[in-house]
Amino acid sequence: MKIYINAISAISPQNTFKQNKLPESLIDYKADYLQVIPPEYKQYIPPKELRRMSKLMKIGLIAGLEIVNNNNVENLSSIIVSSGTGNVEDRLKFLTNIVENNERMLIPTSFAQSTSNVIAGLLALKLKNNNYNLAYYHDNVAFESALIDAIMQFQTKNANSVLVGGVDVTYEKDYDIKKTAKLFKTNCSPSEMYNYSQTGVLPGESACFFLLEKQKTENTFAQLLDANIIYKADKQTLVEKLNLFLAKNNLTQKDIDVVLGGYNGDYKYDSDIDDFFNTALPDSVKLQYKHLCGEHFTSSAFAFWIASNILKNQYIPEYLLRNKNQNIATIKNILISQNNFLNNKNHGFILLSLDNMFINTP
Amino acid sequence: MNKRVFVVGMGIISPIGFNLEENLQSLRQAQTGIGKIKYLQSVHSKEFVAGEVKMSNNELKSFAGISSEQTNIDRPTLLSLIAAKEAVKSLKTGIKPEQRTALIMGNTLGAISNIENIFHKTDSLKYEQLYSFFSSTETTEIVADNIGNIDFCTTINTACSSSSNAILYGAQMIKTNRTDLAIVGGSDALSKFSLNGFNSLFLLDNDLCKPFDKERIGLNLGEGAGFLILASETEVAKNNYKVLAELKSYYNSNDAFHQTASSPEGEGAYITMYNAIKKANLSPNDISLIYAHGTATENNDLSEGNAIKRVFGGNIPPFTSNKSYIGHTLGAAGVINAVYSIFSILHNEIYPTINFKNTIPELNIKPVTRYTENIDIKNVLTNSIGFGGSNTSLIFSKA
Repeated sequence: MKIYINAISAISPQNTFKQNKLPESLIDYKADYLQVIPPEYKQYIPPKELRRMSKLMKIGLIAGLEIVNNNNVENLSSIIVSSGTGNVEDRLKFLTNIVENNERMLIPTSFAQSTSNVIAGLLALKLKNNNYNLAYYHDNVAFESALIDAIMQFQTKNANSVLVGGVDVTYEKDYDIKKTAKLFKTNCSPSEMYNYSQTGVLPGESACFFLLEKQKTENTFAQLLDANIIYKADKQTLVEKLNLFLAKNNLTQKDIDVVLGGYNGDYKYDSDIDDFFNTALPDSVKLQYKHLCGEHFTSSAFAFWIASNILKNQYIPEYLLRNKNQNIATIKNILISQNNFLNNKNHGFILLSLDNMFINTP
Repeated sequence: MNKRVFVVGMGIISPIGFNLEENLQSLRQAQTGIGKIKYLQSVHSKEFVAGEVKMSNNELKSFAGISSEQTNIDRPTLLSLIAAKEAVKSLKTGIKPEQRTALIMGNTLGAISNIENIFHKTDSLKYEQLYSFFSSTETTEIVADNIGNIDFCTTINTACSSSSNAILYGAQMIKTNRTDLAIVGGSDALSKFSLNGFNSLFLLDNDLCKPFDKERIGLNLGEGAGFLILASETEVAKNNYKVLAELKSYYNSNDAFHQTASSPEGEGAYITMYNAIKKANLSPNDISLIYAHGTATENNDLSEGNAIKRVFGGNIPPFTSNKSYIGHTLGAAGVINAVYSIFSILHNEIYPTINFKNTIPELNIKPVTRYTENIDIKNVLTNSIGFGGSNTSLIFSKA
């Protein structure tokens, strides 16, 4: 049983929307946090509905609809959405409403939209889809949780087509509170992110959706081989866990041509990732990508968009290379690795491939 | 994917008991846990009744074995810890390090209770104080760290079907050999957020709710936590686990009708019930009992009732709702339904729907109103229905 990535869609701070290739050069500007280039909202959503939607809902819905609009998908088997922050905009709105009005005369819209399955529910409504519909909400392994569910749909239910996505937004009021923890760079540009002149990370956002199908088509980007989450592991343990994960998929570290690392511009965080990769994947080309999208929990969904493009077009732009002198041969297997060695928690692996490989059926 | 999935442990804390045994006794005695709001501070506290777990946060901390100095552990997390510990205790050998163990939790609000009371001071507040509000992982990870030996952890938020979907995810992981044990469940605590939220939608009853009744007005909110421990057949044999029930099948669908209301004909619930039965290789006649979602809102009970009629035709099995015992526990509702279903299977009994008087005229179907014992309960079908059109049905069977 194989799973093919047959359509991709990313709304991000770079020119990625409605593009099936990586941007040739990066949009570079100083900011406290990166924001998506907004799509033409009115083209997808009637104004009456638009007014009531949070940004998360808007970009999530549109990134998903873009896939469905451009691909002949009748009756998706599953719709699975993930977010690390959830719809914090509506949660904050309702909570503020409660406090300011002393719990009286409250407008229910924000409450009704406060659960994290709001985008998944909206997509089902718009597409009149009664099938499997789930939502995951667990920091930086939310997207991996969704991918694993998608894989399980193909394995256990003989699904034909799954729409899976990850959405996170840096919401202004949320950002204002978080910045008190001094976790962020300020007035920083994507090109400055990795020069480590400031501590902290540059927050960002994106909405990325993918169409996974049983059948290969002329639009196929790549194959999704597997995904996994490891709750707690230090670098040493994680090397073992990675090798087990690769072995399960009939691979060793030598087979991983490219690894997309979760480098986020924080010196210690990034050094730890370098250490880990130097032991675990010494021969793989290391890529960094969060200067395109900023740091956010479902950034691995954006990495998935990048990896799909790399495999299809067999091309890696220089701005992704962690070290400039890396040799790139044929790109067959890509690993996306999300790691946090500051607290050793919530590691995620995603494996994509160009080869004809079977997913291990248990 | 023919691996069978078994329930080998359970834990619960709810408005009708601090553990499994107390919940069972309250159910048998048709004793409601809904009453005047005592612990939640809200301007509406005197206006509504709710199902509260009868302990303050400090008392919950003691009960959970947490020191009172740990002020950042929120009420839903405390409830989760208590229920999770009870579940794990039922595994005589505990969780072995060599067992792949996954923890999947569902909740709708996360750790919101603590910050509600300090939120008006946001200008001077630091992120650390509000962290819980923004964290999707806090409850799940605190539970994981306290149980120990957890290899995989994630959180589901699909409103009121969250914990049923956590059960579904865990079962899928076992079937695809991604884990040996799956600890699955969910929690939610009573909060100003949910009380005001449901009130703004006019979905609350000021008095004890009336599931499936002609005069029903709305729901009562509740709070609680519950967990099941799932294991594969091989894992059961290997460890000689005592099996409580089999999770025979599960099905998820989307109603695709409206953000907060269910379609009048209950399309989502119809699809999940019909397909859960089919997937279990059963026919409608094989269902001994339905544990309904039965929130007592005008919309839910009519919609769900219609769905039940569509699936079962003229031959509707006994059905019941626990919402007039414990209220609507949101993220915990699905797993609590599951625990009570397994009680029915283990003890061959049915717990009545409290506060029912007259059938809904459009439906003309009556829930069980008397405690019934000595009745062979083979297969129990349970429903969860949530905002965003999320519907899940589970079937538990006698092992």
